[in-house]
Amino acid sequence: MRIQGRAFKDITLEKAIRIGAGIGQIAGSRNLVVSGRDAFRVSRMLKRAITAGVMSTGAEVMDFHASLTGELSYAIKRFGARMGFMVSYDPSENGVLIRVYSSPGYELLGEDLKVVFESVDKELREPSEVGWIYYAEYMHRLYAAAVSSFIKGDVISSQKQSIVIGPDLEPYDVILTELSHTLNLDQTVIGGPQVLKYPMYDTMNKIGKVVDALGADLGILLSHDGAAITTYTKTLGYLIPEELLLIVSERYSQGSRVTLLNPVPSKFAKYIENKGFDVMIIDDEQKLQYINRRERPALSSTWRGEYTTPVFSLGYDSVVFYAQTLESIAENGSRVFGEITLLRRDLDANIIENEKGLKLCLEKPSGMTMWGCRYVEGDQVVTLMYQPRIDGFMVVKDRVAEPNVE
Amino acid sequence: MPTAIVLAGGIGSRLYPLTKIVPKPMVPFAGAPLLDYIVESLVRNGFNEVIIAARYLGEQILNYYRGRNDVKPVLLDSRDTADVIRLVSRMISGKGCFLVSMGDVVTNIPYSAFYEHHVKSGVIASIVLKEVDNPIPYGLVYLDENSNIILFCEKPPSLEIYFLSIGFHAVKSPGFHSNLVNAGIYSFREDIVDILVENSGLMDFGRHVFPYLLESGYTIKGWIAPQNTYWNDIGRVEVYKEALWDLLNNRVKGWAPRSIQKSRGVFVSDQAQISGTIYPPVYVGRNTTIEQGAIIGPYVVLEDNVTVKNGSRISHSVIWQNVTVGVNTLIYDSIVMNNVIVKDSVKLISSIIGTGCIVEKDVYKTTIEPCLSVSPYANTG
Repeated sequence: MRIQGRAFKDITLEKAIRIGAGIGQIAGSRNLVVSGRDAFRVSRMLKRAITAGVMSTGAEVMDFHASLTGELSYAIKRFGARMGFMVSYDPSENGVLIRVYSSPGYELLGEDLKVVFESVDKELREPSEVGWIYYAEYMHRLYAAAVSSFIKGDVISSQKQSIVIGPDLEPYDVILTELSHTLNLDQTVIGGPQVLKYPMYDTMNKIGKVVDALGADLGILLSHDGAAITTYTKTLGYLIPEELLLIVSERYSQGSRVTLLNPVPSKFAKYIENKGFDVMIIDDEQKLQYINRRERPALSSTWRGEYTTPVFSLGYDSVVFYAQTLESIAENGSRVFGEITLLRRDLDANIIENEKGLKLCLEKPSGMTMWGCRYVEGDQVVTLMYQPRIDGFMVVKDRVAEPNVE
Repeated sequence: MPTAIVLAGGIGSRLYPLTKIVPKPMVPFAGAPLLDYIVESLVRNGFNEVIIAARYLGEQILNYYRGRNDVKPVLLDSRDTADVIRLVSRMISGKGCFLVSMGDVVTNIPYSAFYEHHVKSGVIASIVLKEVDNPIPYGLVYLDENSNIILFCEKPPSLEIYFLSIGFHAVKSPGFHSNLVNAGIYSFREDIVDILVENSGLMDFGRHVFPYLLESGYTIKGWIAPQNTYWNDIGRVEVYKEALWDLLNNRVKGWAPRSIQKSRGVFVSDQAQISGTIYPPVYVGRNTTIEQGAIIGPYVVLEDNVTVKNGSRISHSVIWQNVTVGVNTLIYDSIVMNNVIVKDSVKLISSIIGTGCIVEKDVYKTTIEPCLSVSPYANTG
């Protein structure tokens, strides 16, 4: 689905250069490729190798240093780039993930990635034609400005919402500070773990406890690469991905299209549909990308809690989703929290101990996420969401929603 | 005949507490609500059907325009600006191109010239652009040499970033314009309605619709307002006052305060009684009394039914309807909302006094929230 493997074993420096050359060939000489990485050293090193490959083809690189998936996707559109790439590293697994983007900002997945490798062996340029590199750290502030321009900043500013948010890794330090200033937020930033280990109990615990202690409006945990988000509220604890989608959908009008990547609890899909939304349930992530490009739905989410707002950009972008969450709550208050409480009752959500939950997540062929896990058992989808107040998992079981897109 | 739609539904939270009592387009503006000046400009420019899309405190707008045939106020449950067009689509169906204006901009742009330019161009959308000296407070629009919009930019976080950004685009597209801002006035081809209905997730023109159209390959024309055009977006209380002073100083050509101009910068209703002294520029509304010994001005707007008693002095301030200012008071750099009583010998400096309050002590740099919820136009309509 994506370019990933172990550093130095599957993803060697030589391979990184060749991937870069492939990306550069597709972009074309003198055309722009945007690049980003997370804060780990391995990512820095591999990004430079990929950059060398891109430059060797005559394409130009705009480098944002540490950056987020949403920034990359937005920057492709903003600067008219042809391609983009982002390197992430998971030290606990020695795992490297290279996301590749194409104009106007969508991620290449599965079969679509073949074109990168097929382009590698084409003849490289002469030394005199090597591409240029621009360093554009100002992108973080530009992106924060774009995010705050996308929502009704004055509505949020007038409420001085109290937010506890993490992690504080770069480039969140710049982006969250800018947003806090522009949107008049009373923001407490929580340090994130340097080593990734899912679920992120420690950070989730910290955020939950600080929200409860301060009586803050919301707690927010963003993933290191900016693709995913999970949200904590005083009354409901952490929200499962579809619940957060429900909150943000309040800012859109009836008839708006929403795309969801399965497995999705069918009651949630039905509930959003009954609110007047055109809900498309899709089984395959690559297909989700195609549909988002073609249909430009108002909102799109994966079961992992990665969100896309296609009118803003076509990549996963938790920061713009966070801003929309603030806007929706500022405009609609906590009315929607009541709806979620009723939905949880309807879903018969229950609780299991921490160790038991983790064991279940590890035993099942599940997708572990920063907030817990989700797996399918027969026709049921089981969601385990870590809840710090009980130091255990909230378990939600429901029938898997039927895909309705060919 | 062309139709114009005025968007008058916003909450206007940056203009609190004024907008706790009136919707932003209905803030008093020297004898009439701001909205009425916009409507009058549109009618004068040949728009014989003006639809006003109201939402927040929208009943006030409906009451104000009740009985007017050329003005059609409608109360809508719209989520944002573009949503309005979906909701009024039946009213504009089959009428060709239409114009959309924000209901909170003070401007004398030649609407008809812009509209005709749009109709001739045949494109899906055109936007009025205003050149600004300082681009930092605005979201910018980049235009190529054919007046086609090439990019909608976020508000530049700093001058340095603005220069870096235009430097990048200048290399790619020589001859482009970079100090232009969206003035909040648009013209559309009728088929925009189909696009909006098909894409219900597009909620706001500036944030969603225009970037979407551009990405989808549509041409959007930028129409640069003539050099001497006045344009000000009443976003903050300070800007509200600034625009009023510009109106009194005759800087908004084509907009005249709603009373008689007695001399340069002095606008006084025939139904006002003035025994005190006036230093222009000043506006005095209907049934307003300035007692002997009171000094008004410079830069004062006294709306209808205001009484300023003997020995009082008011400057750089706006006083809404139905206000009594007691003996020997001093009001400077302040806004007094409607139905307020300011007691004798009180000083109000750089403050805002909310509707219905009674002020008995001095107030410095303070905002007093409204004590009552009464519209300044409660008896109008």
